Amino acid sequence: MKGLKVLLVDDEIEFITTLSERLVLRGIHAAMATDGESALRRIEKDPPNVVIMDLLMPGINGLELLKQIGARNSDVSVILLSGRGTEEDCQEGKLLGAVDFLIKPVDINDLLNILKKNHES
Amino acid sequence: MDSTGITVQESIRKPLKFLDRLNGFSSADPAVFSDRKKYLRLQRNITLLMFCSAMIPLLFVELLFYFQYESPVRHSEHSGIGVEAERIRQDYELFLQERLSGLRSLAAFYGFEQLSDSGFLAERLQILKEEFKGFEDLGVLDHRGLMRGYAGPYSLEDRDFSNSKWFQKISREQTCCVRASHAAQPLFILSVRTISAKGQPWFVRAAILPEVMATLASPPGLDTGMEVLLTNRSGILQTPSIRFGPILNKLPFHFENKSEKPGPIETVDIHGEKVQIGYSRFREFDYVLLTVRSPLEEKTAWSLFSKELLLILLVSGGLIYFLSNRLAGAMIQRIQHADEKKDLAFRELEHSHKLSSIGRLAAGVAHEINNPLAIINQKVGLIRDLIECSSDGTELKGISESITDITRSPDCKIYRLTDEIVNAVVRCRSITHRLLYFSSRMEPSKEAMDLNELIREVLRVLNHAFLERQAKVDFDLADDLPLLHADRGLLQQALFNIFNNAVEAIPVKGKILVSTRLEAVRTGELKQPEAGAGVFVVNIEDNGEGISKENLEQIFEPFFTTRMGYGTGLGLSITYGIIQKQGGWIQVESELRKGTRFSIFLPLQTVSSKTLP
Repeated sequence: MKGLKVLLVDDEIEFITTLSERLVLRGIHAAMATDGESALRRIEKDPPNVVIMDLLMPGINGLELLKQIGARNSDVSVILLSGRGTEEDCQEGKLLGAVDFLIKPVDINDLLNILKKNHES
Repeated sequence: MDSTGITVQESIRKPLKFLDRLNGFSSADPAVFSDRKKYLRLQRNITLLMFCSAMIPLLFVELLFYFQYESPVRHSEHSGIGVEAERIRQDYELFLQERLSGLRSLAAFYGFEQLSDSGFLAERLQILKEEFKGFEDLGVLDHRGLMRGYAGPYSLEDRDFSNSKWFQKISREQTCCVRASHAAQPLFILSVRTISAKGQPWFVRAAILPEVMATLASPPGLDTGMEVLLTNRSGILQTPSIRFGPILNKLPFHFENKSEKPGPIETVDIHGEKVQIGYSRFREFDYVLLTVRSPLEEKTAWSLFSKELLLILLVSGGLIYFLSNRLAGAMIQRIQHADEKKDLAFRELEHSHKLSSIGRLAAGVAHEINNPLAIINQKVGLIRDLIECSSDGTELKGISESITDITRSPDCKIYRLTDEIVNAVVRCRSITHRLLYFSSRMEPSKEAMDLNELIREVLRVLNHAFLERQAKVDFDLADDLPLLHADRGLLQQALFNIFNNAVEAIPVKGKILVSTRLEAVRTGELKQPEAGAGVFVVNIEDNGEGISKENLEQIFEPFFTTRMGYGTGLGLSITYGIIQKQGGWIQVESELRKGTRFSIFLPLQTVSSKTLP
C-alpha cells in the first residue's frame, strides 16, 4: 500500500484536503483536483494508481470523467465517492469500469480496505 | 396481543382495507367504498328504467287489446243473443208460413162453397193435422164474420163473429193471438183472406195449439237460462214467459220501430232482476221474437278477457321487474368492480407519485447533508489520526508540545470528544443513507435464504435494545419452511424497521411474539400467481401502546411519525416499499393499550437455477 498513488477529485476542497492529509499519514501519495479538466491534466502528467472522485462536479461530471479516464488510461482504477449516489448512478458507474461506489460520509478504514483489495488484485 | 373484540375489528377494518387496496388486492366488501348507497340508488334507477322501457310498450299493447277487443267481444256477446233470436225467429216464421200456405192451398183448391161444408172441412182438418202439427180447428168465415163452416173441438158453426176482436184483426192481418170467449186458453189464430168470384172476401182460419207454439220457443241447443218469447209489435206477449208474466201480458219496455240494426236491450223483468234482451222482427208477421238472458252470464266472456289481460300484465310485469333487477344488479356489480379497480389504480398512482417526489427531495437533501458530513467526518478523523500519531510518539508537525502532552493520556478528553462526533456522524449517515435508499428504485436482487434465520439475525442486531427494555421475545417459527428467495439486505432492513418499532412501542419487560408459517395462497392475492403458489407469513406482535385508528391509516406514509423529535417517519414507508418490491404485502392490526400486530406476506417463488446459491 505504501507508495500507492491516489488522485482525489471533488469540488469540496475541505473534504479532499483533509482526506489527502489522512491518506498521506498512512503513507499513500494523494494528489488533488477540484474539477474534471484539472483531474484529466493531472492524470496525463502523472498517472495515479487509483482515482477517488465525486459524481457531481462543475464542468465534466463524474461519470463523464470516468468514461474519459477509461478511454485514456485503462490501468487507472476509479472509486466513486458521492454524496448522492442513486442506484442508477451506481450501476452506470460500475458499468463504466468503476471498481466501487461509496456514499459519503465514508469511514477511512473502509476506504483503505477497498484500496488494499484493489492494490492486491 | 389478540384483537378479538368486535370494536377492534371495526376499528382496524378501514386501514386494513386501505392497505389491501394499496396492495392491489381489492376487497369485495363494498362498505369500504363508502358509497354503497350510491350503487343501490343507481341499481334502483336502472331497474326502474329497464322496467319502464319494457312495461310501457306492454301496457300500450294491453290497452290496445283492451279497447280494440272491448266492443267486438261485448258485441259478440250481445249479438249472441241477437243471433239466437234471429235463428228462432226463422223457425217460427217457417212454422207459420208452412201452416199459412196449407190454408192458402186449401182456399185455392176448394173454394168457399165446398169449404163451407163442415163435414168436408173436418176431413181437410184431419189431413192438415197429419201434415202439420199444431192445428186445433179449422173454420171458414164469410165477409160478414159469420162462421160458415167449422171443424174442431168447439161448436162455432154459424156463429157471428163480426163484432169479435179477433175477426176484426184477421180481416187485416194473417195471424193473431187472442183470448177467445169460446176457448179456455188464448189461441193463436192463422187466417187466409181470399176474394170470391163475386168479389167478396172470405176467410179460412185455423187455431194453433199454444203448447205447440211453446215447443218452438225451446229448440234443442238453446242456452240454459235463456228464455225465448214471442210478442207482437205493441209488446203484448204471444207466448207465456217466466220473466215477463203470462200470455197477452204487456212488456214493460218498447222496441224502437224500424230500427235497422237492433242492439240488445237491458232492462228489468217483473221480478226486478236485470236482464239482457236480444230480439228479431218477423218479416211477414207483426211479431218480434225475444231472447232473454240474465246479464251476469252475458258478461263472462268479456270479464274473462279483461281478467286474462290483467293476469298477463301482472305476470309479465313481475317477470320484467325480476329480470331488470337481476340484470341491473349484475351491471352495477361490474360498475362497482370497475370503480374499485379505478380507485385502487388511482390511489396506487397517487402513492407512487408521492413517493417519487418525496424520494427526489430526500435524495437532494441527503446529498446536501452528506457532503458537509463527509468533511466533518474527515476532519474528526484527522484529529484522531493526529492524536494517535502523537500517542505513538510520532513527530507531529505544527502541534504544540502542551497539546501533545494532554493527548498522550489514553483516556484524554479530546479523544472522547472525537469519538462522540464520529458517533453523531454515523447517526447522521444512517439517516441520510435511509433517505437515499428511500429515493432509490433499484430492482431487488434475489438469493435463497432461511426466513427464520434471517429473523434471528435481525434480532441479534437489535439485541442491545431488547436488553435495555428487558423485553421477552417469544418465537413460534415453523420448522419446515422452504427457502425464501428475496433480497436479503432489503428484507433485513424491512424486518429491522418493524422490530425496532416494536421495541420502542413496548413498555419495560414487554413482550414480542414472532411467528412464521407457510400459507396456501388465495386467488387474486399475488400479482403474478404461480402454480402451487404459497405465501410466507411473518407475524410480529407486541403488547405495546398500540396505534390509534387515525394513525393506523397513515403509518405507511413517508415522514409520518408519532415519535416527534427523533423519528424520521421513513422506517415503515421503506418497509412497505421493500415488501411490495418483493411481491408481498403488509397488514397491520392494532388496538390502543393492547398492542399491534404486523403481518408480512411474502410469495413463495419457484427457484430458478440462476438464483440458487
